[in-house]
Amino acid sequence: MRALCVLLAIATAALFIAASWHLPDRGDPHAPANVGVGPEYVERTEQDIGIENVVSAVLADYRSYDTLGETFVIFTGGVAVLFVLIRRGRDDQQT
Amino acid sequence: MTNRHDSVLLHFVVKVVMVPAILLFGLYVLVHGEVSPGGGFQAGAILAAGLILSRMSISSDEGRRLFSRPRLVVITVLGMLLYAGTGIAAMFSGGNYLDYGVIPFEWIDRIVPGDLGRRHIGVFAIEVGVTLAVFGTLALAVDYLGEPHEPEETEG
Repeated sequence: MRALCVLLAIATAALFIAASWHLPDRGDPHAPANVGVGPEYVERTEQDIGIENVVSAVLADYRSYDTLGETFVIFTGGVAVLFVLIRRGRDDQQT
Repeated sequence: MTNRHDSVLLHFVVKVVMVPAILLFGLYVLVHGEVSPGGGFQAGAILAAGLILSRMSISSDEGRRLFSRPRLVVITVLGMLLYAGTGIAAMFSGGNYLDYGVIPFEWIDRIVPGDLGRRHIGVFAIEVGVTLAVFGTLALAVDYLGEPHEPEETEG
């Protein structure tokens, strides 16, 4: 069983390493990430929003609905943790 | 969260060196997030890390009062309201939801005139909101998870 696990891990690692050889080079202008809508954002951020950091501009302005949703997910998680742990504390005090 | 440790070295390193540096770095990541890598989520996590470190090592009563659990809840909700309220402020002034370019505050024009200045302020406002929300959520979660099992002097 242990040998099987090790073999599986090695096979998975070999698969990932083999796949990584076919990744595009850093800064390759023909990479899929650089031929779609990406360069459009890089070019237009300066005059659209005036922020140097393109990542921040995309997160906080172009895609601010998405960021709002993400923040609400974190908020909801915190509220859920709160409810679970508050109930536990109350039960402890009753016993 | 845990019991107070009476170690001079721990007190000095945490109180004088680490926590101020962590909090300052968190603020830097927040206000510099539009230029360098960073932003609201990271800044909130770093600030919460500073608070949690200080609570785990030099848990002072004053710190517990300053960031008590009800106040952390208020901070979290205020962050979410700041984010959503920025969007609603843009909507009330005739734009789309979260379209910062139309936010109608005169004083923004005095700092950075024009549409871009408003966008800058809007982005910064929601980053502050995200920071507050993430900070409050993380601090609350760790505060509740780390509480002692025996019901003792925890304020509720």
